[in-house]
Amino acid sequence: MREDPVAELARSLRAPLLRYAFALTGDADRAADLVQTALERFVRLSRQDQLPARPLSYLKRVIAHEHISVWRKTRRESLVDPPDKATDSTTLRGIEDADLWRALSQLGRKQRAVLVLRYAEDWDDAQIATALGCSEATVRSQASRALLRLRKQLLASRADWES
Amino acid sequence: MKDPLQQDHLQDRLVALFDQVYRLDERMITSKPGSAKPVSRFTWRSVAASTAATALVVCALPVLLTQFASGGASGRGPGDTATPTTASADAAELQLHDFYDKGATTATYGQGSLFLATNTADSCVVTRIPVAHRVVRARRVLPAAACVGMAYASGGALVLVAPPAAGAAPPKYQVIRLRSESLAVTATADLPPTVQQTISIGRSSVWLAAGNRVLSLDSSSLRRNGDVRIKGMTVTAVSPDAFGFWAVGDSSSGPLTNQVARIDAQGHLIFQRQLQGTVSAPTVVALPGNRALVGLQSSSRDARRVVINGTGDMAEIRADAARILLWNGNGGYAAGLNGLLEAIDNSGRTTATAITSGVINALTGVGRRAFVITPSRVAVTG
Repeated sequence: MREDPVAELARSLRAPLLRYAFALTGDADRAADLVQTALERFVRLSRQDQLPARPLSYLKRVIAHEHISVWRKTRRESLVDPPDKATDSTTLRGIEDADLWRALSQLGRKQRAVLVLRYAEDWDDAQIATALGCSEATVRSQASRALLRLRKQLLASRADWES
Repeated sequence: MKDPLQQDHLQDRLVALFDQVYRLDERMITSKPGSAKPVSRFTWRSVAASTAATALVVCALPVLLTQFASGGASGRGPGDTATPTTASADAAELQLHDFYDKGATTATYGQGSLFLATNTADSCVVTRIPVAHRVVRARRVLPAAACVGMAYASGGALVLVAPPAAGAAPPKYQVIRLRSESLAVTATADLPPTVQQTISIGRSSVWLAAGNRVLSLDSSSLRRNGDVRIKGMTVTAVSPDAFGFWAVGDSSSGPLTNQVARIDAQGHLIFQRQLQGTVSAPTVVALPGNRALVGLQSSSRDARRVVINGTGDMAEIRADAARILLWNGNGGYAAGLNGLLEAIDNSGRTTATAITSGVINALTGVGRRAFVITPSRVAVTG
């Protein structure tokens, strides 16, 4: 039986989206949730014959936006216990620059998203601003603060190591 | 030599890092330590079909079947303390400590206190015990014949569902909201008489199952803000999460089969599928990562757990206990008949077991800690 072309397309996009969402969140579970949400929206659009011209780009925008939205919705939550971070050790096995990966986890979601969209996706500030629903000036300031914070984190970890 | 922390070099490092992440094997991202057979996360055929409002998704899903236990804790009555056999025989022993010398019908935990509800012949008594002091700080006799479910909602509220009092006309189920400190009643709401069996608290909603309907009430005002109908299914348990909720139940017509459904926050059915097995009243608990753990148990000889992901893929797990499930954020427990308690990991597999004296009425807790409520006492895991 021939598979639904939309489902086939969604299936082919799943892996790159999962990696993108993982870079964005640093968390496998959250990445899976975001990809799930974006693909569901994509399939719904396809049922209404409103498929975007560039599906991958559309899905990445949805994921970036949802990531920030989730942050907005849940930032007042106070966790009673830290979530299980066991995944980190698994994924770190495949990442050489573990210091930088850890430093990224200290950034706010928006700051991290800006860095991922700029350095991994190579988007310009206007594209990032559209995806995150903010101004280009905000994108620039978030990127600048994120880089500054990363540098501080890396300096601190280097000082720890040297001492 | 260039300072590795200089701006342009840091940017190069970021590009290289993301490049590496983008080349990671998908399994490196999705697999969890300790889960030998990870559930595959997505099967797009099922989602595509479900969004077209297909009632039942029937497609070739990778079902990871494991033969479940053929033995079990059979022939034991409440209060017996036999050692469990089968799958958990090699699991570690789970330590249980006495917490309170009276039992309860149901319980919930919130803001450092354990709340117990005890049904008597003509009333329901709610008790608050701060966990740090282990002394009863508040007690309230409710004007309800019984409490069938209780949950702690955000904002310092305790929400209970009470069935209609005997002889009441018209028969009304009520949702009662209490102030968690004093246990004073702050609001009540009448529900259709068919509402029964289950209550669950989401981020800001109370979820109630009623036949094939799942009602959602705002937890502060108790106003109805959602009413979802799931065709062909009598819902026996719901478990909300950030995405929406999971519902499990029995087929409402034909031979008895179990079903699971995934509903998003807007009330759309994402998928509904049949579970293998014919047991009554399955239970469900949402797990992190858009997954849920479904417990299937009709007797101590027939217990299974199924981990199912957001698109309907499922893995069946050999288990001893599945009647009551609890997930505490980073740890879980399953309770079965005859007081069998199992600590479970993120994939639903047993890591340790214990037997309580008496049947387990309810489980609640925080973190890895669980309070185990039996009719005669409350114990806490070590």
